[in-house]
Amino acid sequence: MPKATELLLLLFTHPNELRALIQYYVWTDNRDLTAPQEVESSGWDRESMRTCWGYLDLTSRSFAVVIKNIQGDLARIICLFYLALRALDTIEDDMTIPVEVKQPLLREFYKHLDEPGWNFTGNGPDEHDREVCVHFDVVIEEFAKLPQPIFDIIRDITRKTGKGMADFCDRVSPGRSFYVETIEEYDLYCHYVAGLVGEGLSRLFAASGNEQEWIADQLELSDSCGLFLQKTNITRDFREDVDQGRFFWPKEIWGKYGFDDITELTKPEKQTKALFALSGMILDALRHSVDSLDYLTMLKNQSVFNFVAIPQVMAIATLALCFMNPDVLKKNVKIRRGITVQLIAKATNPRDVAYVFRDYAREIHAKSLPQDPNYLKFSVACGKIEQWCEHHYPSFISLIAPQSADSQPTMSSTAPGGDPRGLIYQRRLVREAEKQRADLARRVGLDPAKIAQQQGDAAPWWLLAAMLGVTCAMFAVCAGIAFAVIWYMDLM
Amino acid sequence: MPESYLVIGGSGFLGSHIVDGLLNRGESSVAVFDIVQRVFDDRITFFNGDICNEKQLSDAISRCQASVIIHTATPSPEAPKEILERVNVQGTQTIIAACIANSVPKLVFTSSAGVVFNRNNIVDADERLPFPQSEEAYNKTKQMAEDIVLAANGKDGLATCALRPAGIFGPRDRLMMPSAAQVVTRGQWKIQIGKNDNIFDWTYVDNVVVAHLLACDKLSITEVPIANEDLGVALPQITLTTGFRRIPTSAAKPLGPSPHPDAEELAEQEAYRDPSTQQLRPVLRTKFDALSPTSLAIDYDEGKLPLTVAGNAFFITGGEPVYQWDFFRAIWTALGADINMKKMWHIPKSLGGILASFAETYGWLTGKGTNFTPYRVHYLTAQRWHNIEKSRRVLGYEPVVGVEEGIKRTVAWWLADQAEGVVSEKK
Repeated sequence: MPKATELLLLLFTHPNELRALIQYYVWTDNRDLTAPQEVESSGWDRESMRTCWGYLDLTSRSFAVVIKNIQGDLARIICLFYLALRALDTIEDDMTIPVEVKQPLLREFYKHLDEPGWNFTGNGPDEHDREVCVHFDVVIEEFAKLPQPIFDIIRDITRKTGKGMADFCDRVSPGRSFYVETIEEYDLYCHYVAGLVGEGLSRLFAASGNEQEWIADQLELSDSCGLFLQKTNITRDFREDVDQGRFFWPKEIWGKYGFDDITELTKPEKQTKALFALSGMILDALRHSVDSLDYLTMLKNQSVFNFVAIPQVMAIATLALCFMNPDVLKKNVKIRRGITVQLIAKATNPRDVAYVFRDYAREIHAKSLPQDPNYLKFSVACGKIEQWCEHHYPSFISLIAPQSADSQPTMSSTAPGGDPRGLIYQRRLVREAEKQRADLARRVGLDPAKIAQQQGDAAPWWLLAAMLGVTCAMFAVCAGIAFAVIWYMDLM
Repeated sequence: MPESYLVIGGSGFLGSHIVDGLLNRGESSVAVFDIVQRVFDDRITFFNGDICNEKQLSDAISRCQASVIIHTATPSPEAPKEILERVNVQGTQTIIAACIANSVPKLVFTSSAGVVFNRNNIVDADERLPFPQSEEAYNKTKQMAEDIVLAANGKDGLATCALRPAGIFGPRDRLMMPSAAQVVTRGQWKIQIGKNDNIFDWTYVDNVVVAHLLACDKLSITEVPIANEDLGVALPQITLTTGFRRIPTSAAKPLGPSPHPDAEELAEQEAYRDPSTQQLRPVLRTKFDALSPTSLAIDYDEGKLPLTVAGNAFFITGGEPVYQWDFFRAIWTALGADINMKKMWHIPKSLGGILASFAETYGWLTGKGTNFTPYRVHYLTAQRWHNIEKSRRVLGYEPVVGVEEGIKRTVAWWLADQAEGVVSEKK
């Protein structure tokens, strides 16, 4: 919960966000893992699993709530998957571990996942999530309770991630190239630390029976979703990473703007160029936006959808916030909490997610400058999101019901500024009706052609006469009953 | 036997590029029929004539023994109504008659995306769209011409199709570039009408040429339609301007800084470098999609299935619609304007429309005329982009030059052309 003073400030600066926040805290129905009916799948009755849930809260700021809200066993599975990767990440990030120790440790990490009692205490005392490594035996204890196919997926991803992290260790050791040089390398690094998570999740969705089996084989789309998130974080965390001596921005992107060293991007006198380098990073991330939308349309399970979609909408919002924003070069930027809850509320179906993407694409585009060497590329990239939205979820088909009976939703397809696609569907409706009538005629043994003709000429009159007749008959019956009642009463 | 090509309107902007395209791919028999000769090349046979004169046409066809006719002749959209009707409607009728009289097997007609444009928003338009009532004589006569051409498909062994390019630009274009240059010299780029959230199709001329050559090759009355099952795999995204990069996966990825790559890693790297191992993605079609099973069953007229080249119309664009003002700003910037977005005057669309009406009335009263018309305002603020999936699947069309590269080439040509003009004036 945010502080009361912050809320008060919000009331004056962004009242809409305050409303969204209040609604979120009042209405959001989070899954209660401790409830008796949930215990079987959440594992809350076991000390070890309770500890794992505790570590999830401890280590992940944003993911904990989203993971817990997944239905059934999958929440627990993904929680454990997350902890395994978090442990790897903690070892990778720890600059106090010498590279000679770190590399084999990362490569061999997956072998310990079914080794009861194993843990790692070699992290530096200040390392953020060292607790998970120190007590990793608890996580291992829970791994033993997972079905074998599920465990195998987690182990496989952990193996590949550990291997990739170990490969890139060479790149951050002093004395060798300190940067990620090319975009290809940058993509590969993001694949190891995030794309593989996407692959693993798709496989877990399929193996747990929550999603269709073929989704496990859609590696490119799964990877692309992961890359989109990772690239957004790398772009946003620029200053923090540079201050800590980590350089994830590939030289192929920022080197074009006359910088020899990445730390020069923080110099105020080079801000204009640095902002164009930043826009280069954002353009590269936007490459994955349409893949991410494609992936989301393949999901069937609502709680899985929310789990995947929430980080994706946060990512596009973050990119829009970072674009042409000099603060990124100076400090950490973050989306306001009020916007976050608004985004969470919208991330429930592919249509709304797509239009959230489109709105942020327009926000990015509105800030784009003709002097930026990527000016037209942004136009094309944002145009792709526009195209995706209109193609998959045409805007002329409105989901909003008419406000009252007399305000019919009309498609002004022929009016200036209207959308002529409506004509195609009007024609389709007419043809479908005709086809139905013809089918009906054929079924009762009449000639469809003749029926159509009769329908055209005689039917309305005939129908009118019949309606008139029925109305008269009903009047007569009513009158008859009334007469009968009166007559009967009089007789009494 | 190699085909013999006759390009009607081969001296025009698009026509001359098509002639270049044919010559560049090594065609040995290329002829041009036009009222003026503008392309002088020994490899071309030129016929001077009027397309409303069937005798002149027939004469040319029989002399060059044309087996493929590309009909690109059309007046400027701003030409008077009578000329538009004469060339687009009568001319097209005459060409059809001459084709049939000379047993020409193939006719490719350059239609226009304008056939569906009627001051509407054209959003993800596909070929199912019915023709609207059009007020612009150009669009109206193009509609009539397209109907005439497609109705002739299958008559006496003639196969026809119509291509509808949207917003062609490129070297030798005398419509868009002069006015863009004028904006820069007058400093008129300080104004923006509307919100600039409308995306618009501009098609580089080479892409249109590619589509024409494909249509020439694929057009046939014995063509087998593509199978419905082929529609299930998604087409790759068009990445000409944004650049293509393959997404690394655990099945196909580069080696990176791996110190001791094993056989498995080497195989993954090889797969990554081999475009044929690109992962197939399922296509996601709603029932509103032009090629969804629902649409294929009901949206097309009987006997007019969309999965063949012959008898069909195809939208041709670069597949990279961009925000309308961005396109112009990119050109103005390339021509030397330094556009300061902070000093931009933003005029709402509605106000722009009213001002344009005043300007038009003033121009009419004073007899001076004006470029600032309500139609222009609409043109700048409307959505106008098309769905080219049918062209890509049925015609096999893929754009070859992206919008950014297209602007670069066009501006380079314009600057060189202007410099040449200055030199020749001085002489």
